[in-house]
Amino acid sequence: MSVDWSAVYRETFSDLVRFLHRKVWDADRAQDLAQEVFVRALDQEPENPRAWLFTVAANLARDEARSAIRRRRHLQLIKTEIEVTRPAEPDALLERAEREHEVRKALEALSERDREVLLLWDAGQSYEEIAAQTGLAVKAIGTTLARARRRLVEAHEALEDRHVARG
Amino acid sequence: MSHVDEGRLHAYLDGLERNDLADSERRDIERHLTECADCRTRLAEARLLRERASSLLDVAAPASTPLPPFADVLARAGGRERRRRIVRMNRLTALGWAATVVLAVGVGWIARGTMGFDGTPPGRQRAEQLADEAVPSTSAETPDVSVAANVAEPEQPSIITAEPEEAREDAIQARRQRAPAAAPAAEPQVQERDIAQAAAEEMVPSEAAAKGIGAAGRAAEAEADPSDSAAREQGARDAFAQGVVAHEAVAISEGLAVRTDADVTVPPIEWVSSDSAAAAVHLARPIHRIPGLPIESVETGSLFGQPAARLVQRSDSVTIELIQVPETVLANLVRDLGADERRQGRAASTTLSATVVVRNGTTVILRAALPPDSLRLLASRIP
Repeated sequence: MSVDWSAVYRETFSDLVRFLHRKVWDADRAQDLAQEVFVRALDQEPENPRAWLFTVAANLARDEARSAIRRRRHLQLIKTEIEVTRPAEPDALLERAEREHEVRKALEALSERDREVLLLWDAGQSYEEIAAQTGLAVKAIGTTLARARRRLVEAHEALEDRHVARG
Repeated sequence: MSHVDEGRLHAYLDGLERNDLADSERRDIERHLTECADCRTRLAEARLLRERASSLLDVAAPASTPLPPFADVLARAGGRERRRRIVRMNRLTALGWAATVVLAVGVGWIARGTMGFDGTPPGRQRAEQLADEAVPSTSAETPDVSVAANVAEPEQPSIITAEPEEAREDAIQARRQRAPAAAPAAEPQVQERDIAQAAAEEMVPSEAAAKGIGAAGRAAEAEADPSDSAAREQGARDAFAQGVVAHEAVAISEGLAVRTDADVTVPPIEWVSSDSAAAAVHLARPIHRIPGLPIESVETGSLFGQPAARLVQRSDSVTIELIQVPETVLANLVRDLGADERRQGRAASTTLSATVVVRNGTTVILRAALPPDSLRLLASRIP
């Protein structure tokens, strides 16, 4: 039986972008990677196309993160220059970017597994699919999600408190 | 029943939200909740926590943008596949070249011992024979090798002049057959340059040097084939396979008015609804399709008394038609087309484009309301 990738694409693309966005923190890059996932999918006939897509997406994002670390090291050298030349952004955009940055920081406080489970759930994956992708038991997903949510909220509150304290 | 732990409470709430909670689990938990105020409190806490977490995640969600067309994905895959094929093919021809050299040296070594009886080297005939046998292996990948042969075109004259008179004539004739395909429009040539560029980008110098074998291979093919018509057919096939035929193909499908669209009014092929398996039997070969796209319909018919099949696939809102006939019908298609028809066909093809690929003895004509490049990329995805 062959997979109708164009149908899967319609159903899954935005979920994949949502998932990838919290991994690469760049809207264009997330879209680009999501398309790349489908490019790789075309020659495949996996049993569970959605699960396959998310697994490949997670791998691509991981590779991306590794090269991002290399890039960042490189960028450190010219960082000051960038900050000086950065164009002024409208307040609303800036505020949004700040809030997103806080959530990003909070997410980074989670263990890798907890974060993965939370992001997969948020991108519409079922408990069974998350279990299949992470190797966890289906029964363990609820507990993992509960912990991940608690840590996320707590880490975020801690960041906000620090913010307020700094004034 | 004992208290419901936090994990189960989250699973319960998640299951309610997504509507995928097992009935028994739901009943168990709800029964317990009616009896246990403690768990009801914890359920409320879990609910708050869930909501807080998802609103935080929403803050970090990408802005919703319109879904890019699936054709983008196909085009991307197609472009990559095409470059891969060119590289793979260049490696193949390089291998073929190396094999020929090894063969020639080997034959020379054997001939060295037998020379001198009457001054003629018997090894030469054998070398030629062996070379003839070796040639098809370098040109086995019909479309791709021909592309390379075409890329190597500038080198051809010098190779041809080194050939016997007879073969030169055949080769010239074969090229004359290709000429109309290349002549009518500047566009295909531009696209060809793209391919050449892509090839050049991906190639290491030794591979670039080995490219000459493509032209040599084809010249030798003409030599191996003494009859005019065969050379002509080869020329036509080359022209088709090279993708130079994109315009010719428009002409062919329009000229014959292969039905698909409001642009073309007369359907000369009467299509009968069928399925993949039956169409494969009808055509006596497997039906080709673009992977990853749903198949809308399969039909069978006939063209010049030969079996034909038509597969319709869909990408988003674009319908792509794949008309498939045995490769031997190619010569017919070219011969039956006059210059007038060709012009007419070109004039009519403002919105539709067509392209032709040859795969395993089947000619596949693709037609769709897509830019020619996109269609060509789609065509390159046919395995």
